[in-house]
Amino acid sequence: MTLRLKYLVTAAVAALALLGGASSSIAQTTSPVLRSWMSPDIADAWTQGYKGQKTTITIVDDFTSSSKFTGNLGTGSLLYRHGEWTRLEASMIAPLATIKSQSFYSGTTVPLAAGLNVLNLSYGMYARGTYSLSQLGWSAQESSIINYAKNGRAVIVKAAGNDGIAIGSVNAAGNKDFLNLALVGAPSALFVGALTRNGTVANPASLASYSNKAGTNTAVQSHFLVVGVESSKTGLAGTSFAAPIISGYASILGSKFTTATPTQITNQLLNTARKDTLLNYNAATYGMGEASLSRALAPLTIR
Amino acid sequence: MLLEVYAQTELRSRSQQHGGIAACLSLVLLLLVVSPSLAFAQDQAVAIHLIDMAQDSELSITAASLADGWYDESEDSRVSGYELSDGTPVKFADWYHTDWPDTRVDLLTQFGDDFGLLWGFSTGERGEKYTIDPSLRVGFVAQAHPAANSILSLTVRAVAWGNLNEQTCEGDYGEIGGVQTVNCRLAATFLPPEETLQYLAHAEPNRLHISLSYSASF
Repeated sequence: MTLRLKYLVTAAVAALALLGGASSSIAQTTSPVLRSWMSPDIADAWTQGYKGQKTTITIVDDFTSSSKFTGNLGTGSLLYRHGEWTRLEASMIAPLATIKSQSFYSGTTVPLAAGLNVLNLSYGMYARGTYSLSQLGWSAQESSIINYAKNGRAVIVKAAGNDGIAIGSVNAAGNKDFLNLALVGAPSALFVGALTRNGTVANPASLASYSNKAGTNTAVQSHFLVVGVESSKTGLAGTSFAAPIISGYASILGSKFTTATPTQITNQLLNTARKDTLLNYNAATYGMGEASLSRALAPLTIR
Repeated sequence: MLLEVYAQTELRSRSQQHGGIAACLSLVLLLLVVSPSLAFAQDQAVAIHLIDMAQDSELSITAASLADGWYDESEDSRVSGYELSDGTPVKFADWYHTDWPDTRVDLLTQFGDDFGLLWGFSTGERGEKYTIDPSLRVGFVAQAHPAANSILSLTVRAVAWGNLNEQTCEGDYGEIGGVQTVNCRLAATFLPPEETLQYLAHAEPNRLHISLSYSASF
């Protein structure tokens, strides 16, 4: 299994204004048909005809670079940019959601649409681990994203990262993902790790070896979800491709609970995540557990 | 003559589960068939006959089908329940089940040789999440003899009440949706809770039955 990660060093300088040092940025990575890489949960959504309408998913990613790679999400082998892949994936989960794209090179404020907004961030903002968060100056783009997460104005879905470490830790290159750190404690932020496949009770799944884990920080654990990334079926691996699945789930939830706030959507996904489909579940690895769309849509009680 | 046409007393049971009920009803039926004949002697102008009794309501079948859920093409299986958000299973069969299927009784009050009033009722049916109201069945049958050894028969029967209505549930969606009135079967689908109500089952019995028959003996 090959990780389809691209180091976008040039993007980093533009995207992250670091006080007193250089920085680097890492990109982590429609017709409605249930694909083999998808959870069967999704099928029910289509059966009922609701697929994320009246919600907007904004993909902040790479849509302009010359870097492309091959994958197959069930629509045939394609050579796409990173952002084109994540956008396609989210649109396949929630086919009727309005999908917007913003190049993460732009550095401009991410606009919000009417209704529920979900922002998919399949990238990280890396700088030397010796810096602290307070030493960083964010671009208008990341500032707007962080504020949306802190103020509960949009569901912010952040790929956990592919260093196989706990969120907030220093990776092997001595860098930290400061976008992760900036989102810790934000009420409508979700960190998404990758399982090797979709888990079941009979056949529980484990965290992909590359995937970052929740770690011991309870503020991260309580906002950390995992979902299957079936790279053997798609040729696409990395938490970059876990995040769009959760973005799609959030969108579908928003089309059912039309008055729910982004924070309520976030909490519903967290509170209904499953632990019994994971191998040797523990919060430090899996956070709140494997996202379950069917349980997120179901009532607590019915009588 | 009417007795020849309508002496087709029968008891049809919807399933083998109701075999005991069917047996009891058969006994009652037998008594009813015999007793009117005794009560209303042949030389009297009016006679009452039990002509049919059955548990063959189409609405009963409709109600039972609600427990079957629907077919999910993507999973190639039927959806006949769901899990609550904590994983507790919910089975439709628990809601759309009855111990007493809708049972109809049809009687005939005979006036002379070629005319009779049809009347009767159905018991209705009740499950946890649906009801079939009792119904009243009224009509007539008239006969003519266009030729020797032939009978032309007109039957008209109207049915009042007897509707099938599915009842709602109260679903508690917690912080994200609160307590809402929902269609029990669709509470966990992607439909907004309030929109599930437009899919509540409602059905009416066939309100008017008219038949014209002709028979000839050779």
